[in-house]
Amino acid sequence: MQAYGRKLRAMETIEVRHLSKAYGHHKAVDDLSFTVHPGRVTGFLGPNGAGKSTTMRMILGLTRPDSGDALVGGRRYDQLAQPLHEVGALLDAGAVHPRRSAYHHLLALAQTNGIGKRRVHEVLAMVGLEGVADRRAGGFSLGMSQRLGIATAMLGDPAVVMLDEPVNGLDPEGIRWVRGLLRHLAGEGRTVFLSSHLMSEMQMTADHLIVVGRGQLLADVAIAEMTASGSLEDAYFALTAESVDYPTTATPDRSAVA
Amino acid sequence: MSTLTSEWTKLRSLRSTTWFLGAAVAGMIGSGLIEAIAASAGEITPAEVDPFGGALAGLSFAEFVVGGFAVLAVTNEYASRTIRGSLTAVPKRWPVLAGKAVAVGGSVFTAALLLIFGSFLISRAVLDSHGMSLPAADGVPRAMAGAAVYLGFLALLGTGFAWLVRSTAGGLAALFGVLYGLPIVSLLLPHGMGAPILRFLPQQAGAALMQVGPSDLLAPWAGAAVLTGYAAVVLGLAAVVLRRRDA
Repeated sequence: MQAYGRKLRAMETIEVRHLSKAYGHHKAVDDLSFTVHPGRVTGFLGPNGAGKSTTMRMILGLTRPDSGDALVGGRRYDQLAQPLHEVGALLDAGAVHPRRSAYHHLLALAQTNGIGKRRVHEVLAMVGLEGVADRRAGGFSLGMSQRLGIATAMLGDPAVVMLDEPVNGLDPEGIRWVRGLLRHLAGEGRTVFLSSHLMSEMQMTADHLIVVGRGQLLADVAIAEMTASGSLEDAYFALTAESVDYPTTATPDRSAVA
Repeated sequence: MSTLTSEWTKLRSLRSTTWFLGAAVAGMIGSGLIEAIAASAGEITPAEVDPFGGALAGLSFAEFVVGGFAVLAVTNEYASRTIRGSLTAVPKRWPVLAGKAVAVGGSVFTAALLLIFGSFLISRAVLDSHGMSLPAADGVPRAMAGAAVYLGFLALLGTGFAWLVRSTAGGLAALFGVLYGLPIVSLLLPHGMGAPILRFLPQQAGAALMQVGPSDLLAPWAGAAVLTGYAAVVLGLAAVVLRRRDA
């Protein structure tokens, strides 16, 4: 497999300590604590509304916690001088100006952190978008947007990679490629933290799992432990049965394992 | 500095920047040459020629172009949700605001300066060739540079309001409300209370930069100081709000 980064950096953890955030009366994240370690892929699981995206936004300093803190490599995100070199994130693949080219989208971000044009071309080649680098990002398919998002995350060759639903909209080849990339990045000693609702995909990609429900920690376990007695999907439903915000009726599979 | 480069990349990589610039060129040069064209057609008398040769005739048009350009430079980040990426790359946040202000304000000022002096020189040459000289007035170059400064100031104010309200419609309403609405409000105040205030409003402070000859306006330097004050307050407030608000 090709090398994805230029140089290896110090290993960095993500530490979430007693993090809380409420929107009105709704506690999106409720006294949540966990640590994401380097050298492995950590999956972030939980039903819709469990607080996964809010937690990721707080780690990135986009959302201010009501209490507690989130540290990357021991420091708060807003204390990082050139954060793209430390943390590469993909939160929302659709967040591109529709009339700006993929190349200029990446270049504008790169320039804020002293990253050169060569690296922009490198990450475009890495995700297979070099041929469409000059096309407007608004015309991209969901899969191409995800690739652009992953290129954005890799710009600074970061020690920590954090991806929210990175395989949404990718074709089977793309899904396989992301899985290989994440495994490879973890193998290089990076910290890889990813959320996904695709249980089978998570089972194939992650080494460790953080499971949340209603903003609280439900599990912080090795994937082998979680799947010891069956599929990850079954174990997940058993764990989150009490914390689904929008329960549906007529789900025989779930009642069978509950 | 690095965020300035980045903001400049953002501006030049959008075709809308070209359209705004094109509109400004067409509007400023087009209206700036009206006196020259009228002179060529023999439709103007020397008494009707102004000291700028008409170079500032397109100013109100330019205000709208500049306002739209400046507000959109900020609000398109919210509309496209790229703001999160921008603030993730620069978590201190204020450098993004400063970089955008300098990139937008600087490009507006530079373009305005070139357009105003360009149409002035063309207009003067054409009028000369018809035997009409521009009426002499003090401080014509200062007034024309002042017009460019005023448009640059509008750009700064536009980005500031846009950061505060995060919507294109709201940003434009705030900017033009302050420019055109406040003078009307001040005139409605009883007992002429508004008259002293009027001179300190942004549009009149801008007019102070462009005055030639005696007027009720502030002195040009005082007008510049007032505009600087408005820009500093609005951008400072925007920086505080941007820092505190969840993105």
